Amino acid sequence: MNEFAKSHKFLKIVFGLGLFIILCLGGYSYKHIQQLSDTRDNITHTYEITLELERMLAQVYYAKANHRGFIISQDSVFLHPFITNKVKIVGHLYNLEVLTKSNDVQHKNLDTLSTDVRSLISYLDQTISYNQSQLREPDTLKNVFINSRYKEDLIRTRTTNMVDLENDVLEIRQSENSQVLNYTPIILYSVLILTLILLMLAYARITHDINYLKRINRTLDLYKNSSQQAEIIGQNGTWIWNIDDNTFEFSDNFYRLMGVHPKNINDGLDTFLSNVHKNDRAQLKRHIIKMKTEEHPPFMNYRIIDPNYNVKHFKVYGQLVETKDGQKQIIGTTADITADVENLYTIENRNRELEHNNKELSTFNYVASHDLQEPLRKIQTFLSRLEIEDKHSLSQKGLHYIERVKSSAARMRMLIDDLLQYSRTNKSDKKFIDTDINNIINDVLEELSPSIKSTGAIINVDEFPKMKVTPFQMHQLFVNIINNAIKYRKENVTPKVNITYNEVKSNTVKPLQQSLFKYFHNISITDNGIGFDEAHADKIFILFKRLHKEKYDGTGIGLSICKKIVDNHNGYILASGEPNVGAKFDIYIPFLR
Amino acid sequence: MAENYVKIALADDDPDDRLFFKEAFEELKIKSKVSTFNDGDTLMSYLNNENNEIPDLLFLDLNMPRKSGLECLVEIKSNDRFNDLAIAIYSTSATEEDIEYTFVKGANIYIKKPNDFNILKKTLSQVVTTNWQFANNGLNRDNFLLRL
Amino acid sequence: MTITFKFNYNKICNTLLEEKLKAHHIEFQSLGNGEVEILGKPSEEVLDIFYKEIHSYGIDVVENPKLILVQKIKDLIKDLIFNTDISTNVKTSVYLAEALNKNYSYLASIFSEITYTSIENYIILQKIEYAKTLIIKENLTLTEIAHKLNYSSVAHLSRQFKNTTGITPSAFERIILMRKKEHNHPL
Repeated sequence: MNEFAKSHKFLKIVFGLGLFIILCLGGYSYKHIQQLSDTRDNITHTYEITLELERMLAQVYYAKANHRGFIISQDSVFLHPFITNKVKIVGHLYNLEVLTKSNDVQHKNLDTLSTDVRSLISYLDQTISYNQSQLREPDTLKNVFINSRYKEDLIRTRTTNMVDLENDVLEIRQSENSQVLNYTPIILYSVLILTLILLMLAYARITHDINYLKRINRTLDLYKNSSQQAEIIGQNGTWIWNIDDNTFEFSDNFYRLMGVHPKNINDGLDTFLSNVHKNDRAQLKRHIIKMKTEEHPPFMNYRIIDPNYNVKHFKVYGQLVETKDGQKQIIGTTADITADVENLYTIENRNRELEHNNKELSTFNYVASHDLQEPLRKIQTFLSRLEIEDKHSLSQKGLHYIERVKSSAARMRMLIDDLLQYSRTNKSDKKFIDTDINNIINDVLEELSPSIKSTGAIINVDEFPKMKVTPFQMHQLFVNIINNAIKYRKENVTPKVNITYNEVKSNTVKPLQQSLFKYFHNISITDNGIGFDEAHADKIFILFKRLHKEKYDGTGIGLSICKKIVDNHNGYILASGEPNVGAKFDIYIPFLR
Repeated sequence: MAENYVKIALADDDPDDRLFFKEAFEELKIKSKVSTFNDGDTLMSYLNNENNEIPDLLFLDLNMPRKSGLECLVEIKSNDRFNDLAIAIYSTSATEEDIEYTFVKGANIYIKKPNDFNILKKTLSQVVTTNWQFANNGLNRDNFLLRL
Repeated sequence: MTITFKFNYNKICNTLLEEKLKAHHIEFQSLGNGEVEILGKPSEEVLDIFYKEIHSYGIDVVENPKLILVQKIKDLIKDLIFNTDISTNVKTSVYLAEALNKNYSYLASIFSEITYTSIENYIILQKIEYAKTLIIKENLTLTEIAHKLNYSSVAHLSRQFKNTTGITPSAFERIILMRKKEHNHPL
């Protein structure tokens, strides 16, 4: 756009310059024409003077001839023309007087000339009045003629001088003018060329600009199209509200959102508001006032009723702008968020459902923890009472049955305890605390010390760093895995359990590669027990899945709890094993550096 | 030792548990006086009556109608009259959080109700003797925490 | 026909004692648990006859020396634990027997009779008690405490701690700290 503005300036300059040059050219031409007409006037003037002088001279000749005729004949036939000649001479002199006004030298010459002419005429007049007697004198007549002849010569000389002078002046002026006039075509031509060049430059510029505009227009068209598409995809529409004359300009999609045909609601604010849900109208009005005053008004949600009486949820944002001519406009975008709002409702409903389910689940937990445990505990306690108090009054069979009931009750207790443990590890609200894992392992070994002692198990533990974990859960994790290692030991072989620590990067361990975390604590627990078939490695963590059902007592919950605990820590637990060699559990807990 | 018997109180809504409790003390060779309460409310109204003797050792079931064991615990701990009263939580469930929570709230002992009568007897005996040590052998009562 | 009776020994003894006191015109107040306060000032003769009569029923007057002895044992044990100067090589039983110039088994039986616990158990209790104080007040690590209390290892200390209190040392510390926070509990 900057380039465009520059171009605009350039064009202005070019056109201004062109105009100026043409104006100068006009002035220059005018001056030249003036000069030409001056020249013509000068020539005419010179010719007029020359002509007038010639005519006067001719009249002088006529007058002299008529005078001579009269003198000789004394016939008045010559006298009349003579008088006419005199009058004409005076007329010519007057004309010459006027013509020579502009030239002082000529004027002076004329003065001398007219004096001579007048003296000649007066001389002639004088002789006419001479009577016959006076004329009879030869000398007199001779004098008259000689004097007139002399005067006549003088007049002729003067006239010739004046004509020469006039011709000289004319010649000088013409030579002056012709010099100027010689340059005129060249100047005119070159100026014309210059103007042409300028115009061509301007033309080139305009063409360039037009191309540029065309390109921009094409891009704008593209943008318009894509923004229309965006509006359709994004379920929004744009609008401009001209506040001063209360008219709206809506984008096509806006009409679509409103569910009406284009140009159907362009009757100002009130018509628009009539489509708004009546409960939201007042608030929207208030919001519009806000849009007029605040620079960054907040978003607002409102509802409209479309022509099919469907409620739609809209979200609007608008900002006040002022056009160059001082018109106030609000430019805004309105989005149809009906789907979002409906989704939100659905999610809220689901959440409520989920919450309800969770509540039910925790109620179940409570039932399991308290209500189920309590009768079982009493059964067991009563059994223990019965066994001691009435040992002697019971038959062997009866004692055997009590044994069977006891073992069933014990198994039920184990199941309830493990299930509870499992459902408790469900809780997601556990806090992660910086915990010294060494302390946890010490506590665990302490807890397991009876079985460690009775089996003579050897347990080697690495030094562990602090980890961000839920201590209770980590405790449970170690208890379950170490317990398993001791429980599934080989007969007549001292159980050995190695608990080792490594820090690993996620890209070095295959199952961690898709993890978002980069670093992991790797806790490995290896035993020399009965192991398991590698093919079952995945099944091992499934709830109630038991690999060694026949020989060992168990609920199939322990490792599921472990998996859950590790999941809660965003970690991974992997099992590997070989029958009769041992099992290995790798636990990976992510951490941030 | 002006009084040679231990005054013991139990608040538990379960009649069987009250029975086990009483029978266990009867069979133990501990000179004791056991009083039982059917819920937290009756216990507290007994304790709050200043004419009544304060027991040496109080066993509280956590889940009771009307007033829970925890509520009783908090109420007792807020009253200086009961400063010498040792409190044992006597509950079916025992999650680590529950246990630590009741300890933090001021319980001295946490007993998970055993499922064997002999163990119950042993447990109660241990509780009473340990409590006796704290009451009579100059141990710091504030540090008295026992979990069984 | 075999009939089984159930006895309440306490009641039998108490009733018998009260009947005999009344029979000898001795004014008294029963304090329960075998303790009786003599209110009047009966003559030595009357008391003597009374003692002899109840002796035939298996009832004897308890004299204070036992309590005094137990107190002496307790003091010696506390000395042993808190005073690190005393040589720890000597077995406690030998040490007590020599110090009090009494047969150890006699001391043990008297002790458990009075305190309802064995001397060994009492020593453990006292040691753990000391450990508790060290954890809370001295802010010592378990290793330091184990060394100070002559435990062979940290594991040994924490095992004994756990066995005695049912909770681990770290849990104990956590609970006491949280209590402090919660109640501003004076410790």
